[in-house]
Amino acid sequence: MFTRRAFLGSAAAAALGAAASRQIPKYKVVTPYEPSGRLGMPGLYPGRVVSVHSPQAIDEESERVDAGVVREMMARGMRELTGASSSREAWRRFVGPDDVVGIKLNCSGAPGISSTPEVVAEIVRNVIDAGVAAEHIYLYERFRNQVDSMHFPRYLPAGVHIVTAERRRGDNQAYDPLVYVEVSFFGEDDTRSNLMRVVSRRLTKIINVPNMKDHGASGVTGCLKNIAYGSFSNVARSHHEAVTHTYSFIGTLAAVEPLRSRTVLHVMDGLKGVWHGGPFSPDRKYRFYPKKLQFATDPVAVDRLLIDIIDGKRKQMGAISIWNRDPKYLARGNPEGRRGPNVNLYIREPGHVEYAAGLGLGVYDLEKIQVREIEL
Amino acid sequence: MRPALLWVLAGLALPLCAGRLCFDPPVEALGAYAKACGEGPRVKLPAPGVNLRIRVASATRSPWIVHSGWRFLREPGTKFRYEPPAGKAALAIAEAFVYGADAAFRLDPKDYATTARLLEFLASVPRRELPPLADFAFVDDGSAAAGEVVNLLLRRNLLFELVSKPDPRYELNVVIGSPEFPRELASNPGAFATAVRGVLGDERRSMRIYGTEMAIVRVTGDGHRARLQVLNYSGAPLRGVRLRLRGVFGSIQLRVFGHPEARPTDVTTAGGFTEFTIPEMGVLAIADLE
Repeated sequence: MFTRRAFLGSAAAAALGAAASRQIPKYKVVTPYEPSGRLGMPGLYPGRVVSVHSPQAIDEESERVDAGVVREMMARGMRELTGASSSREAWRRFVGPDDVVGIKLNCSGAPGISSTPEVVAEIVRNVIDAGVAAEHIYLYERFRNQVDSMHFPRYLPAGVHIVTAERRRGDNQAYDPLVYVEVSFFGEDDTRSNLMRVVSRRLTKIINVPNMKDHGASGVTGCLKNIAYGSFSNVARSHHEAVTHTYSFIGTLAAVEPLRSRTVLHVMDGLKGVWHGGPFSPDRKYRFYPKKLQFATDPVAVDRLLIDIIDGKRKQMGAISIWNRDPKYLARGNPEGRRGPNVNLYIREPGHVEYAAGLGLGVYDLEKIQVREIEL
Repeated sequence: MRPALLWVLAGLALPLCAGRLCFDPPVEALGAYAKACGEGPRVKLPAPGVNLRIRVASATRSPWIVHSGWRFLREPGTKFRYEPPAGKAALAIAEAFVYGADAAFRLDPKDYATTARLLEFLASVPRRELPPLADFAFVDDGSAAAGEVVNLLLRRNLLFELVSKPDPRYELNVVIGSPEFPRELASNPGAFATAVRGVLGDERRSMRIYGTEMAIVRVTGDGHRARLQVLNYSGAPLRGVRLRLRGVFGSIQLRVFGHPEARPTDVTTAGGFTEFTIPEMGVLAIADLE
C-alpha cells in the first residue's frame, strides 16, 4: 500500500541526493496562498499512469486527428485511472459545478506541435458534462501568437474563454504581482517570475495538457515544465550560454501555491511527439507519432516515463542521449552547427523530474510507478 | 550593520523642471512651453533607445540601452544637444527632463505634435526639489573607464552618489583599483556593475524594478517624500511594471505621459518597502510617494 506520508518522506530523501551534485540557486517563494484540498499534485493517484494507444488516433501523413478515436481513448483512460464506471463519474472526481476550470495548453511548439485541438475539445466536453458551465472554463497559455496559430475557437462550444498573458512579449499585466518566485540565476536585473493572474485569482481547478517533447534545456518538456514555465513570467532567464537552471526551477515553480493545489489532472497528449529540437517543431524532421494519451494526477510519474520515451526515440534515431553532459556536444564551435541531433544548446537537465519528486510533486522511482497500458 | 540608504543632502541635486530644455528652432507647433536656445557650443548626444544586438559589456542577457543619464551625472555644467531621428524625440526630451539637463533639441517635424503634448505634460508635473537617493558612493576619477562603469551602474538601476574621494557616510564606497573592485574588472563595465550589485546585495537596495529590463529609474527623495521617474527605452509600451521602494508610503500619485487616467495598482507595504504597479506606460512615468 502506497501511503502519502511514506511517499513524501522517500521523495524528500531523493531530492537531497540529487541536489547534492549541483548548485541550487537561492529561491524566495512569495505567495499568500496555503495548500488546500487533497486533489493537488501529486493528487489522488500518486505513481499511477494510464497510457492509451490507438494506431487510428492520428494519420501520420496528413496529421489529421480522429476525434472519435480521441473520445474513446479519453473515456477508457479516465475510467481506468479513477476506477469509475462512467466517464461522468470519472471526471467528477476532479471537477464539479462549483469549479472554474483552467486547461493549461502547451503551445510553445505551435503550430507544428501543440495540445491537439481535438484533445482539448474532448476535455472541455467532459468538463461540461461533469457540470461545469462553459463560461467557467478557461484555456490558458502565456503567448497570444502561439495560441492564435492553433485556432482553438473552431473546436470549442460558445462561452469557453481563451486567456493569454502576453499579447506582446514582455507584457506583465496578466501576471499576479503578489505571487512570485524571486531568484537571481546569472545576475539578471529582473529577478522575479510571477504566476498568471487567471491561475491565482480565477481558477479553482487546472487540467494540464502537455505534449511528448524533447527540450534543449530541460531534456524533456512534459507535465512539469508545461505547468511551471507555462504559468509564470520571465522564465527563459534560467538559461544562459551552456548552463540552465531548469533542474531546480521547474519543480520550484510547479510547487508554488495555489498552482500546486489547483492542478488536479494531467492529460499527456502524445498523439505527436518531438524527439529533437524541442520545444519547437518548425518542420516535421524531428517529429514522431506515439499515438498515445496518458492520464495521471502525478506529473512526476508521467514525466519519468517521458524521459525514457524521448531518450529511446533519440537512441533509435542515432542521437546523443538527453543525459549526455559532455561539453564536446555543445553548440559553440560545433561542426554540426546549432541544430543537429548530436548538438546540445545547453547541458540538458532531465534530472529536473527527480528534483520535483523531492519537492513532493510525485513518484520518480520506476519500480513504484504503476503503468496501465491500454490498446485500442 | 547600519542601513546603506542615504538621502543625499549634499552633492548633485538637479532641479526638476522643463526650464533647461530648449528647441532649435522653437517652431510654433511645439506649443507655448518650447523655448529658444541661446548661443554657445553644445555636446551632441546619441538618440536614446535600445540595441538588441549589441551585448558588449554585459554580463547578462540584458539588451544594451543607449542612454545619456550617466553623462548628465558626470558633467552637470555641460550644455548638450540632441538631434533625434523621427520617433525618438519624446524619449530624448524625457531623459533630459528627468536629469534636469541643459539640453537643446533639433527635431524631425514628424515629432512636433508628440513633443508639444509631452512639454504640456512636463509642465503639469509639480516641481519637487528632492535630492537623489543613493545606496553607495562611487569614486569617479574622471577616467573613460569610470565613465563606462557609471553608465552601467545607472543602467542596472543601482543607486549611487558620485564622489571624488571615499565618503564615510556610506558603508560601501566603490573605488576602481581597490582590492574589492580591481582595475581589470573595469574593462568589462557590465561585470563591474554586477560585482557592485553582488557586494551591495539586492535586499539592501532601496529601489527595485520588476517586469522589464528596458527601463531606467531616477529616484529622489528626503525620507518622507520620494519621486520615481521611470524612463522606458524599449521603444514600445511597457505593461505591468512593478516598483519597490524602501519606506512605507501612504500615498502614491502617478503621472504617466499619454495615460492621464493611470493609477497605481496592487499597492502593498511589507517588510519596510512599498510596492506598486504601473499598468501601462510609454516613454515616461512619474510617481510621487508621500
